[in-house]
Amino acid sequence: MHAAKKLTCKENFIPRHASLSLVYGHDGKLIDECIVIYFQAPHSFSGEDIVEFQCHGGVVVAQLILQEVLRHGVVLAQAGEFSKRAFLNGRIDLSEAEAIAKLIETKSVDAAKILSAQMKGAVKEFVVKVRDSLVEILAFVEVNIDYAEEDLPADLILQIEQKLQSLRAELLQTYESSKQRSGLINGFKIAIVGKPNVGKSSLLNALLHYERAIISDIAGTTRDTIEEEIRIGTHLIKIIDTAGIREAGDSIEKIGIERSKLAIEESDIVVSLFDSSREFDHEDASIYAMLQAYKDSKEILYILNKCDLPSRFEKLHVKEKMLELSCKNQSNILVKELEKLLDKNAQDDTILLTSTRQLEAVKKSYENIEQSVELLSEGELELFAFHINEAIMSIASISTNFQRDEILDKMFGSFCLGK
Amino acid sequence: MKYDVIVVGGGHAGIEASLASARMGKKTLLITMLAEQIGATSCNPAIGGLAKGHLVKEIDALGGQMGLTTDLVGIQFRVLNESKGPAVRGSRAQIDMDRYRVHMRNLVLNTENLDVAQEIAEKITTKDDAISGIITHFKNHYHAKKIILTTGTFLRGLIHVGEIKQDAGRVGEFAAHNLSASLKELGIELGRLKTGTCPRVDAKSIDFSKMEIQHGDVQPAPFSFRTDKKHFTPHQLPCYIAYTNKQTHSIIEGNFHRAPLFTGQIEGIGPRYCPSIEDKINRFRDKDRHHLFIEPQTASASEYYINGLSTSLPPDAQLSMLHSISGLENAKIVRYGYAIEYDFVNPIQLTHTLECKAISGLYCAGQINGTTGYEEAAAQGLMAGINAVLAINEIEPFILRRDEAYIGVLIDDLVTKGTKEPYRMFTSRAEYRLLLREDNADLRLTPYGYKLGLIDEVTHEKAIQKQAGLKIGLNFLEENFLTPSKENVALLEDMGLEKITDKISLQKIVARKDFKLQHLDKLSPIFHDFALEIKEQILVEAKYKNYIEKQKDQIDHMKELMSVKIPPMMDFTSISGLSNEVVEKLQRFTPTTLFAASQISGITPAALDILQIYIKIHCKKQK
Repeated sequence: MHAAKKLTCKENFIPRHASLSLVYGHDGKLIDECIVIYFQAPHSFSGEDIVEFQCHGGVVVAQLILQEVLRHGVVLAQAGEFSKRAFLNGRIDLSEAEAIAKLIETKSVDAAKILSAQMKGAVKEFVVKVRDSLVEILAFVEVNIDYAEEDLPADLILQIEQKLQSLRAELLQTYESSKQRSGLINGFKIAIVGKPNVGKSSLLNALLHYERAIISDIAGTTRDTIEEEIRIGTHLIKIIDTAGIREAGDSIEKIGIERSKLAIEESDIVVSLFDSSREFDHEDASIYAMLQAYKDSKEILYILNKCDLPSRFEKLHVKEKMLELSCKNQSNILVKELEKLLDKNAQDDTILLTSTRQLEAVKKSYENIEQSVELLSEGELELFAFHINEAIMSIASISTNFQRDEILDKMFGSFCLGK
Repeated sequence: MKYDVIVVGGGHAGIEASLASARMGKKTLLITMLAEQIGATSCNPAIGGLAKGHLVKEIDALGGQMGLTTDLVGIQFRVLNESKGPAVRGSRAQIDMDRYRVHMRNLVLNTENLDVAQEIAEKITTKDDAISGIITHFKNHYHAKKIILTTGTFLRGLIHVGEIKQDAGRVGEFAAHNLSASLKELGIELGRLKTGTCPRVDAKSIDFSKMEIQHGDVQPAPFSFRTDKKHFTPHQLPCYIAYTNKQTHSIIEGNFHRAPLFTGQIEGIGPRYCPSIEDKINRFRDKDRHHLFIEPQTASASEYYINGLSTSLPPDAQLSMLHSISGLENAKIVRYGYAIEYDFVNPIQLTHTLECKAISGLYCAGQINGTTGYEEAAAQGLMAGINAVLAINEIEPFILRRDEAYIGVLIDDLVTKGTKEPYRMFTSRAEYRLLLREDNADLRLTPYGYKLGLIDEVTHEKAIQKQAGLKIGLNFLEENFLTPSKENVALLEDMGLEKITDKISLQKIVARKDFKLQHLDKLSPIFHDFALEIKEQILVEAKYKNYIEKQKDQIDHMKELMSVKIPPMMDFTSISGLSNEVVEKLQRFTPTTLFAASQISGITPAALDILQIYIKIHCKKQK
């Protein structure tokens, strides 16, 4: 409830009323316009307060909202958790209880299977290694606390610091590269951007071979982002068509523009369209300027569309090489170009975390390490240990459970302690 | 001869158990082999230390004796980890072990409701699955409603010095054989552990000039919240630090073939936490020295304890290794070091009140439960004593949670997980360490001690005042803000503190690293009237505020799991969906709550969910 209020900037929800709400991100940016329904306890499936967000189609928006919700301290549900809670709160009959226990078992087995499938090879190694290093760091600092009187190596804190630094760098790199390239598993996301009527929907349709978006000559017809999955070569991709980016007057249009920006942020590859049959105008200029900001973090393709019509576009305005084509009948040129890019992306051999749960765990772990660094240098060892402990707990949630005795095993394995 | 409570054993657990029982008004008998040895410190002449200091303060806050006696007979007081955060500081005192023992013995003898019998307890008598009394070697049958066993290392105690073996509970004292047999008859499973101690050296034979000196704190602080701080001026003695060297190590290594630890003569498992010197040399061969603390045993300092040199090597080897150490070249050993094996009760056989699950009315506390350390023993003794009395009075048991006290962590660890080696307390065992500090032990526990009748009115009132002051102070800090006005910037500059650029709460200012106690008065005049110890509390709590709030959520989760009780008659094998490993562990550890189950390694979150559902089904079917 707390998270829902924060996200929607609303004071209150009327129970069991569907209310149209604007959902904002932590940076104050608009994410989506959703239907939000509040089911007040005990009148809900689980018997507890439940808030339901019905957002626009596609995974991107749902993911964005999920990330925002997690930011407010909400925790992802475990396998079968809703059913369990429903049962414990008396919402489900006793006769169904065994079925629910079964469901939890199956689901947790499924989840474990999925987890173990995800946790093969490099990822598993990575997680195990991170967990080990963290436990070791904690053991080292606990030795410093609990055996302060011992003849400990003089450079112990320095050792901790070094271990921490390398772990920190590794976690960050894995997190960032996983986030950027989660496309390998979930499908690469491609955002199509361009001013109204530049032919974004035509391009999408050409790619999909069927009419998905409403194509019209009136600028701003495509107000929702549309997400479609297609296969290019061996790659699964998701195409996000966005509303035309332009400085719009009406508010719904503005949502579309905000969403385009979000779509670019979410995407792995940006396909930007410019209209060969029209002059380079201020709308093109602002889109171009916006793209410049992502130059280093995203792959961007610059397309000069409608090359079958008389050219009125001054190419000098775009510094990058432009692909000249007509979306209506030359989309294969684009497909080839995309395939090249995707192949290049897939060859990277850095470790990839593939599920939201893994990413969330690594992120939380990383954040705690970030907070701990300064505490270590200030000698606030007990607070440092607190954060390392939290970091271990979140990594443990995607690997093996953490038992406090492990610290002692590491402590007495590594140091000669005790009188 | 009828008693309410009988305590067997006059060590640190037995003293706290019998005093608590008698002070709570129960007719109590302490059976001990040697009245002279009540309160003997068989190992090092020191009380407290890291995490152990916490236990002593908690025992004291609940109305136990250990801290008070330590303050009376201490010969050196130090706060360890002084440079680290308040949560991990630990008080430690060297004591005059003679005076400690004599004081405890007299106190026990002078306590109303408490009788002492110098006899050997041999048989526990029962009636319908509950205890009824104890028969001693003099064939006296003492009847009691509750029995507390605090037998330390005496159950089938076996001493080793080289190849020489001796039946003894402590050097020079009988071992208790028949009581072990009696426990087995009652269906209690016994295991075997080992511990040891170091040689004691004649002071005249030590050359202290070759050693580093270690003094007590310049301003020694007492352990007990009831000791008058202002007039606390103990006469302090120094300790010394010496080092082993390569020669020492090669002497020890050369005697490995005579070491009972390695020849198979010792079967019990020793503590990793205070290993013998031969074990240290064996496991850490590349370490070129180990440090030793040379500690006075009494105020007269006629004999020194060589802390760090616990050993069961033969006498000649003990002597030659000592002689290789700088300052101990001419050392004369008064008492040789030895190892001792003894029977223990794996504490998973106990409930959180330390009562045996199998036999009603039988409690175990201290080393018999597989712990090591005077403080761990005393804490259990106190809790067993209290709970025995509460059970007689048919009042809800007194169980401390993990977020309330180290004592809670200690007992919870013991009874939910059991132990395979002597268990020692560490601050790292306490997941809510930032909340459980020495400095707030009185705030946490004194109200309980008062309710139990173990803490007097004045002491309780003091704790209440401290709590109230803390609350007022903290609220003030949270509700008042500092703006970056000229005056405020000047104020901070004047105090030598970091500048502010935005409006900020006083709490945030106080939480900063550079903020010290003396700054509090300058921050606002309201603090002028606060007592020093309240100001200290305000500072600590303001500093830890964010962390304390984070831990509150975790505590709520723990409480939720604790509130789900696992019925004792629950048949885990009938639950489909639990793996064999999980079922086997649940049967072995018989957790009483879902939280206890969650603490057992190998119990998955999914298994807990399934268990929770079946508990509910089970309970509904009962109705």
